[in-house]
Amino acid sequence: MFKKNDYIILSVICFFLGLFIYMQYRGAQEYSRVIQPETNAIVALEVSKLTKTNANLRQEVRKLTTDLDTYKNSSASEQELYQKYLKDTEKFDIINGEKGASGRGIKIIIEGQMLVPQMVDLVNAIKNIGSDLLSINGQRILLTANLVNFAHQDKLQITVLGNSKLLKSAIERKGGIVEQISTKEMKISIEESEDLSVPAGAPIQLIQARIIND
Amino acid sequence: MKKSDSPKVIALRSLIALLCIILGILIAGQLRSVPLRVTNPVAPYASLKETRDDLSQEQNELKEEIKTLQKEISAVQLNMNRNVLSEKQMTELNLKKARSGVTKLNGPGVIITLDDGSGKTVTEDTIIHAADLRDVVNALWAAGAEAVAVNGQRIVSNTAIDCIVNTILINDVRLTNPYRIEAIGRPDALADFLNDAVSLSILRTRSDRGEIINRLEKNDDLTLPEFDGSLEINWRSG
Repeated sequence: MFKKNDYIILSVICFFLGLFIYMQYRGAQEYSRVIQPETNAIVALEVSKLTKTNANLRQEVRKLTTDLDTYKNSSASEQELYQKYLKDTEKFDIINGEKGASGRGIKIIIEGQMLVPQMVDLVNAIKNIGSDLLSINGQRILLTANLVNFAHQDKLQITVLGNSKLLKSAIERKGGIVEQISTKEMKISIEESEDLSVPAGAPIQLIQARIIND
Repeated sequence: MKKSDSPKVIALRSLIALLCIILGILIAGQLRSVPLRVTNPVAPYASLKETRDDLSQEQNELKEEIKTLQKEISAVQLNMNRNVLSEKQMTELNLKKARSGVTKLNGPGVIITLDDGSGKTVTEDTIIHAADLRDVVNALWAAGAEAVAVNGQRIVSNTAIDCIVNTILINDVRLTNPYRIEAIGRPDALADFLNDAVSLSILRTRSDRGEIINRLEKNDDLTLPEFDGSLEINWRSG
């Protein structure tokens, strides 16, 4: 049997042990309560996204303000106003797919079949990184594109106009979209180019929709 | 063999030694976790949150400003000297703007409401993810939708539907559930397509099991807001 002193020593040690375990547990719980569910990293990511978006929005505000000044400026010649109109028209034609465009970007070549969700996620990721225009196998991808049509094809060539360096590094980075969607059977390569072309497509037809000018 | 060296005594000493080692490790850990200088672990988090809130506020203001400027430009263009632009050119420009999403549209269509399940058990299947919204929006375009908006955010050519943990971002605006997806188009065609779309079969199964809320209704009078972000083309040559 243990002696009385042995039990006292054991009790004291166990008391402190319990106390420290409890303190550690409470400390961890309290820290989690303060930080979760949004950790610093998550909020930092949101801040980074918002900073980028706001910079783009500020640029848009500056551009629209200049446009408005041009239209309002009574001293602007008819020729200047007409040029402005042509520039605006061309921009919307390109966005809507009535016209194609050329420029800097990347070419993604995918060998191996992709499922519909993979297609949807890939196109979404490209838009999220920031692309001006894109086409798949020579077909312009507009708002109304049914991405189901591009799944289950043996080879896909995706042309993206945009910041080629940013697009390539973001798509290829560890944990990026390529890593998420690729399988053993799939081979994905990305190359930057200074001169890519995206063709025109069939613009959306507004049949049921009515424009509201308020 | 001495009495004090009996197996029981050896076991007791070993036990005390083990407990002392554990205690020592815990004390060392506790001491190390106490910073030498006074720091506030919550400060960076609070600061980041404050910055995020400020930026969100700024984003709202900028978007309002963009909406106002777009309206003013449209009004000025409408009143522009007819020597510069003909009526036909003005109508064409308005149609191009509408197609790109920078004007409000009205018409018949459908409303799809997606929401997390109300049960106590929370799993991957009981939460609405960004991928679910992407699938529904993609199906709507395939069904012939003419315009789509999610929680008041108009879907345009450069819109991405993404998420940061449990928040969904559309046009970089944070959205929370329930998600109301409005689409203008032929209501019957849109509804029929959505009810049959293979790409939405998993969503429908989750809904049938009661894991999520997935409601579809037709509507004859939907008004979709204009896109209030940037639609610039930056990397085109020439």
